[in-house]
Amino acid sequence: MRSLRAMLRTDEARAGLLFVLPFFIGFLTFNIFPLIYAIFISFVDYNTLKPSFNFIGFDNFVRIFHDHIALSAYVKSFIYTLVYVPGVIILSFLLASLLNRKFYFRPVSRTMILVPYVANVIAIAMVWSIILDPYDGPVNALLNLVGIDNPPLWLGGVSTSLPTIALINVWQNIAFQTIVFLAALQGVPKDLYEAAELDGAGRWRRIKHVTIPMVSPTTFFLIITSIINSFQNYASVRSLTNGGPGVSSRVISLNIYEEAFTYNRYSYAAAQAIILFVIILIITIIQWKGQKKWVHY
Amino acid sequence: MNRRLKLVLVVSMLISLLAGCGSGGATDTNSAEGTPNSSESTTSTTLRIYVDGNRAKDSNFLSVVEAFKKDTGINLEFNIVPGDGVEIYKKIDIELGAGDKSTDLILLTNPILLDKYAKSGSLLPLNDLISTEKYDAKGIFGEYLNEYDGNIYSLPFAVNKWAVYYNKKIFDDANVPYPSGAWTWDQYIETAKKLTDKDKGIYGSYMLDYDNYMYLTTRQKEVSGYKEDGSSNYDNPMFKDSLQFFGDLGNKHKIQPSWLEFKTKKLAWDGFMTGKYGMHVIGSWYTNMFLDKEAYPRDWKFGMTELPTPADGTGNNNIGIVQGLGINVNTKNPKEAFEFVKYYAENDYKYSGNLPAQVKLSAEDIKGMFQTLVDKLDGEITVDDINKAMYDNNLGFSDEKIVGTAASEYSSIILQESELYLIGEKSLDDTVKSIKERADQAIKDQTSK
Repeated sequence: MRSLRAMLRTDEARAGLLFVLPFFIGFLTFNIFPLIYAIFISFVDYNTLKPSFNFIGFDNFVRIFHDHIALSAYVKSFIYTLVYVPGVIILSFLLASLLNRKFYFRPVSRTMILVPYVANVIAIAMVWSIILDPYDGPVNALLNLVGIDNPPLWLGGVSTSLPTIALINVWQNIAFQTIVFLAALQGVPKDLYEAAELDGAGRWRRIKHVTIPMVSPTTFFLIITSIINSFQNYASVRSLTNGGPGVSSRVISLNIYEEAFTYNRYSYAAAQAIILFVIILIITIIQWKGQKKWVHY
Repeated sequence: MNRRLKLVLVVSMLISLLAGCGSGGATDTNSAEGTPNSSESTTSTTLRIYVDGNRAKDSNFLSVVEAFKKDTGINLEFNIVPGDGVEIYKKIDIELGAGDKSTDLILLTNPILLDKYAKSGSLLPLNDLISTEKYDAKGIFGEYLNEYDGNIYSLPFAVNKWAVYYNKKIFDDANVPYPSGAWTWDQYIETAKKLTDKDKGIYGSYMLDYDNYMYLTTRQKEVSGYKEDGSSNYDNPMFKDSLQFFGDLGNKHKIQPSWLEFKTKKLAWDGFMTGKYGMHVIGSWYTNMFLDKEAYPRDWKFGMTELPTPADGTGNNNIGIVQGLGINVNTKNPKEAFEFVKYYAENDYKYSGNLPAQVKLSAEDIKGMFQTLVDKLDGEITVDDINKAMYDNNLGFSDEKIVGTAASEYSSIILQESELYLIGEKSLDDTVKSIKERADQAIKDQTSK
């Protein structure tokens, strides 16, 4: 404490403190306080419109394990992540590799891939609904042309709705990942490739033994953030299917929202959110521990 | 610059930053009139009411508000909540739950909302105000007045009955006579089949994705969604029949877009206005849609007739909902707020085209009211058409929704499960069985709280 006090004696330190204060206050007010509040209300019985703060221990948490819809929503989120994260990581890596080469429309192409990323999610939902319309959308018309009799129902099918949403999200979010990968690829020293080539490594071996290890810190960062984002995905599910058909694409964030704002079960929704937080935390810790095996700094 | 001055500057900037964060509530306050009359606002009370963006611009609603301000000298401001329909109640829920005092009046546009707010103690009981003023609420509103354990929490301003709206051009093109008078659902289906022309992209019928389409004929038969013991009544075979009936319209008879088509094409709630559908089964609020020729330009005329009934004669009822207006239990101006509730409940129909929820009106009053509407529509339909579709027929009246314990969950469950039947993923028996099971669980959860 003494050192802090000593530090604050200088003008510079005090000015510095003043400068970080707005962020700090904002962070406390909008991040830390709501988080603590969510933890608090998950242990009380605020499950009606009228606030009620009687401590009920783990009841809200126990209830989740008897709630088929909530449990299936966690599974749905998990499946979504399993499609979305590999999809977005692999495709963005390939796309970044392509964009890293020299070709005619390179600057234009680099700009174009950003378009979906900045587009409004509702507009995207409308456009994809038209494209994937199972009755007379262009995709199924094409599939019919090449002789597929029963093309998928896409967003309208029980088994296809969730993967379809995941793929639409891959399409939308690929730009960000691609740009980060592109920056990482440009940071790989050219002499490493030259050395590998001299040693007789072909294109595939150069990617496997030079590129992938060299960009692994970036890959690690992108995997962690995409997993977190994919568990929190709400807007696109809401606008594409609203969880349907039935509950086939009702992911956990949608379920939490409905519990809180349609049924006014705030405590129960908070408990589901805390469980989601713990799941994401565990997955992130596992990845953090596992990075030693494949991330090269 | 002086060091102290710097500090003062920085601190004041910080405070203004925080103050900026906190003033959100005030920015969405608009006076109904734009700028309130300053002399009036200093002397009289100002009430506030929650409205959605559409209502805040609705000239009919603005006219009632203006008339109220003129007649009573009480000012009324809007608390505009972004969003439409029931979406705005998500914000209202939170404000009411937090004991907000800033907004006095809440429109209860469907009975599930009234049920929720009345039971959670968010609405002011009006009994004392009614008895102090010796206001004859029961005499004026009769059967439309809602009570909860002897408490009145709202006065009804409109009753929204259902009707069949039809596109005269599509009838003329198909050489089918316009429907009129009593008819059955079988006749409706037959008529719609004659109108359907797939090549031209025309369907004979159009219905939306509301929960109550799933059990429309059951409600016509006045079968309750709950049993005597409070559990779900969805195992009553009538619910099964009505779900099958609704599914068949799109899947078997192909007279309207199937559920799958409706959902995957994201067909709109106002789809009938595109002129691609022969008939539309919907609440009478839809009449207002035909007034708006700017948003819905059309080269066809519409007609309206009464709701068809089940052929077995056991469900000769129109369905509908009563819409009401209530007062925030935390209001600081209960007397003035009650003035508006009374005024709006008694007078809204004169301005809006809504049907009044009053029992004392004479046949002449009703015809006069329809005349105003007919004039606004440039005589597209006659007073007699509306009167026959709404009042002057042999139909009784039954609530369109399932209202009671865990009503919001019940409604979502019906939609989620019925959808699986409608797209062919689940059998009819399994569907009603899972609705019954899940609704029972929701009811149990709610009552055990």
